[in-house]
Amino acid sequence: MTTKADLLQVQDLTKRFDGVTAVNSVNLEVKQGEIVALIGPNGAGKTTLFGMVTGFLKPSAGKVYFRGADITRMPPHRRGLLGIVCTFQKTAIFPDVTVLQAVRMGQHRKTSAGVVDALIASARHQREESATKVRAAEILDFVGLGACADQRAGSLSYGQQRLVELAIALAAEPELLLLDEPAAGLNPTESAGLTNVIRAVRDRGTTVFLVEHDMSVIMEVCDRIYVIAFGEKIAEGRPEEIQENEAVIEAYLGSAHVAA
Amino acid sequence: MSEHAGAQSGLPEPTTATMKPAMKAALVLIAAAAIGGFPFAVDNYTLHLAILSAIAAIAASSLNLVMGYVGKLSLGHAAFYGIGAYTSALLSMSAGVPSWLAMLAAAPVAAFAALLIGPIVLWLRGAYFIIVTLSFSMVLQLVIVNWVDFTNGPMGILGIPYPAVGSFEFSSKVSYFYLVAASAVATIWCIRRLTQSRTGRAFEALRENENVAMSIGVSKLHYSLLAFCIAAGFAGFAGALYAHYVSVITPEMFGFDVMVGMLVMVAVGGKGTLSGPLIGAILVTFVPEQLRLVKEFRLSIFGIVLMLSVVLMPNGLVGLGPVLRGYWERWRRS
Amino acid sequence: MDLFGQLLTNGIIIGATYALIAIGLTLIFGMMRVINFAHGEFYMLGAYVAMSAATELNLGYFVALPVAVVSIAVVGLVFERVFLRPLRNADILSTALVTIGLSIFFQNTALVIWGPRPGQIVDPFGGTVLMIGDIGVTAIRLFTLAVAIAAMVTLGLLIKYSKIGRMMRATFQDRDAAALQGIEVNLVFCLSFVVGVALAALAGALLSAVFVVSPDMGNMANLKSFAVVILGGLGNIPGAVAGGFLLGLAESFGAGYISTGYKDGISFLLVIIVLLIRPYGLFGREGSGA
Repeated sequence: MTTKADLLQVQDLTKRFDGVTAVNSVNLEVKQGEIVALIGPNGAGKTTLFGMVTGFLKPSAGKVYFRGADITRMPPHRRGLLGIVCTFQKTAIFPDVTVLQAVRMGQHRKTSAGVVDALIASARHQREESATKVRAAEILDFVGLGACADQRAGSLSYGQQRLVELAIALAAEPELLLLDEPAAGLNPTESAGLTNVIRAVRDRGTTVFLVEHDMSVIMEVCDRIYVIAFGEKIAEGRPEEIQENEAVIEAYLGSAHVAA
Repeated sequence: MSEHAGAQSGLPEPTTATMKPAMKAALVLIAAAAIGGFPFAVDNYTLHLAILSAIAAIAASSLNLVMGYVGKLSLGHAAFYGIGAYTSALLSMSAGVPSWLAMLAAAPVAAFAALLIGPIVLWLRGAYFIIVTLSFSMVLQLVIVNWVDFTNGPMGILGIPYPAVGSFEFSSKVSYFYLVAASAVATIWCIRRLTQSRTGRAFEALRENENVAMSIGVSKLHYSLLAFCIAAGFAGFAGALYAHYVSVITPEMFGFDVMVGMLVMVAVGGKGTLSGPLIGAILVTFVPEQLRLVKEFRLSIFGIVLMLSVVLMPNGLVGLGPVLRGYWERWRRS
Repeated sequence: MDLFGQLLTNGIIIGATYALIAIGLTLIFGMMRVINFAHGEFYMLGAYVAMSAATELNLGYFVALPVAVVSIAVVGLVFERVFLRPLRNADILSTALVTIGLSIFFQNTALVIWGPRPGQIVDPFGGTVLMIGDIGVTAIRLFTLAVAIAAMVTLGLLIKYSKIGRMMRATFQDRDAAALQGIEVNLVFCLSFVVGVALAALAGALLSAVFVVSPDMGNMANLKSFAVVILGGLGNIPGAVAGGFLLGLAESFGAGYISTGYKDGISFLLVIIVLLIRPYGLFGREGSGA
């Protein structure tokens, strides 16, 4: 049994597509307050596994637990309401609204005004309208996008848009933040900034689970790493342990991947 | 009178939100005076068109809720307009319900229809949704035409009474104008309140990116169904207003012609804005009448206007302002 | 008379024309992610141009066919260049609106040009009926079936074996990757659209000697071809063929054994039932593009 609370637990998770087993009976846990990474060569099944944790893919077998509760068949929006928030690889996430507006949208689960509140401009509605603006500005400052608040989200640079995406996820005050290749396409400065943000996010009490290729980010910031290849878990442990793990090195040899 | 959505989604539009309360109050008074005096300042025919515009504005605004805010192209919207019209007509004529009550009942009945069809169509993505909603209203039209016992079939329903409250009957154009103008104002006001709220942000999140919206806790089914039903309710009410004004309705109301009219109003006026559908409704109602000489080409011109506005003015006329302003700025700087 | 056999034959013939129209629609969607709401109107225009060419220009049915197809192809080309190319990266709502606009324009203009009264080309085979066992088929219908199948086979061969076919397949898989490989994506899109509407026009031209031609015949064609495309899965050409025949047979047997009144509602019912069980169509796949 574990000493620190298991926030996320994945048990024998399997996914089969058309006769191909993309993920084969994988087990992993993420404890409260940790930053855990999932790495592996291209095509290893990381995205598929991630999809089952976020709820966008249905597992063929196995279970996913959150705080001990079975969420295997729970749809993504219900997971969001529980505090499991994920980011995506594609940019232009909310292209036609301002950055501030986008981050206000992220606060959905922590606010509660409904249709009636809106129509009668109830106290709750008014309070939340101004509170969301203030908090959105705070979050934008936190990730370093304060100056872009009134720009159209779709007009920002790639790196900035990934930050907006992160800001939206943070606005939901997640218990568990699931990041899908957050450093993809970022230059070294941006990656360093991302690392700082991830660390700061954890320090504020959010647990982070990320899929990533960029080894510099991972080595910098992760407590533990799971390595998956050909749909199976081949190693787990602390970053230093993984760096020297023979099976891991072999899994990466031959693929075009180079430790960034 | 028209207030703009600007501040909420951030599309660069002028907004009344930043105005001082005194300015706002003055605007409201001026608008009220304008509406109050309007029927006496124009001839009967223009008043007639204005009434039709107001009804169209309600319908177009409701379509805009689904199209512009939730981002789904529902080609079945005319169905709710027709359902509202037929509900009110049948209730007030065959069931002896007082016409004002029948008209009010049109909205919840249409909303209920949306509640029934919504779960079937709303989780269909993109192309499938568009096609199935179109088929839905076509089939509904087919049913209305064939179910002669209930709906009088292709002959339609005639002699629909004017609404009456107590002993006052809305039988004059002037009184009907006030009725529809007040309804249009109320509709746009409701939609404004709705879109500038947590609910409105949930709608927009779904429009911008369904997956991200879901991951932050926005239930796609719940919110798209909510928008769908509210929009249907408003469309149904517009249908009822139309039915009791023109006193004759036919299954044509469910047809593609009506749908297209609504589409053009939203597309040309500007989707995703509050004033867009209103402007579109006024234009689409008044302008073809000016081109009466080429009446047979009316629809052809509609088609071309729609095509051109999609390519040249993707944000409609309302969105043209900032674009032109942009050109002006650049020209000034050069 | 063998009722079953008769209905079967009619169903196959009608199904073939549905398939022909639907292939065009699904090709356009699969390639360009554009829902062509004017597809039925291209079908209608094919019929009208064929009718005018055959009767007013006295070219006769058989010459009118290619004339109709080529002229409609040109119209499609112009539309694609002027209205669709600028919307290359726009969302599906915009392209849908623009084709809706085209549909309105075509329908009303056809009404103005040719008037509301339905017309028809005189049967070039003079009403000859061929007997296959107990089943009677008019020669013109058989001809229609033959040409439709020939067109489908030709298209299939073209896509599978020609250079342009390979380009199309590559673009279909991944438009960005294809562009990187040096494939002229704009050309492929243009060709797909033109071929798509040409097939619809061919169907219209063929059927102008079988059914009456009226300006609103495009509406039903639209609905039916949408239904077929949904049944077969958006972007799935073999699915469109299968769906076309399926719908044709369902309508034929439905009309024959149940009722003719609601025959046109069968397509919608089928679509709803299929989508409830298999949300991406009978043969569609998750991620196939809707």
